[in-house]
Amino acid sequence: MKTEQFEPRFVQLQRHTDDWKDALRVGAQPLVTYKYITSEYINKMIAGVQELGPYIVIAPGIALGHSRPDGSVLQTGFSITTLAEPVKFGSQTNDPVDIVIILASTSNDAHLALLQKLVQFLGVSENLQILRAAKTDNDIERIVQLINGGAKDEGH
Amino acid sequence: MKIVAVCGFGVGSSVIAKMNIESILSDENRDADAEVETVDLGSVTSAPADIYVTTHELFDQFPDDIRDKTIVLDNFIDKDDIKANLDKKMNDLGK
Repeated sequence: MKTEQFEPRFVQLQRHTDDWKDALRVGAQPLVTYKYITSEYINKMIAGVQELGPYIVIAPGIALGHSRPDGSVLQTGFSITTLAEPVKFGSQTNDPVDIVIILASTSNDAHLALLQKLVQFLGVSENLQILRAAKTDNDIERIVQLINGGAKDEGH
Repeated sequence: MKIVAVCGFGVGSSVIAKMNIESILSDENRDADAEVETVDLGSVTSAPADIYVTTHELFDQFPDDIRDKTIVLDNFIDKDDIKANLDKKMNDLGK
């Protein structure tokens, strides 16, 4: 089995969006473009927030858009998008959002290895500063490296 | 001890919480006596646990009888914050 690696084509920097729904649509675009999800997945993410509330805003300024594994997920992966203008999701404690992560998984456990990399990346506050300040392709490369191999205490 | 992390679909935020809780318990050398699972909101009543972990939005929809055993997290990625909440709840419950 090949080692799952996060790729630069799934990072978008300083995008402009109208509101939280648009932020999820824009954030999901690389996954649609590279055929990881169908546009139906975006509708399901939006419906999930409308039904259950903005619980996908998992930390100050960070939304983790996702829905359940089903036919609208073609491959397992995630994308990261930073927003030029933060948008409100309606979160009591974590608005406004300026980092949108879209997660798609073909099953309940297909995404765990990738998600572990993401969790380790997000758990370091310095990494969030780097992500929020990022503007160039070089910055994207650095972020991708930090996600794929950046776990300082694990050395892999 | 069993800990259940709850999110809308059981595949996103709850999995992130599970990974961080397992890492915290491992750091505390308590991972051997604790099991962490994830469920979606609809399955919470059929997932007995000592401690539940969820968000404000979903806590509002929790059954009354498990609210005392529940940690409400604002931040699912800040391990220091999760650890502070977890240690307090385990202490309260005598775990």
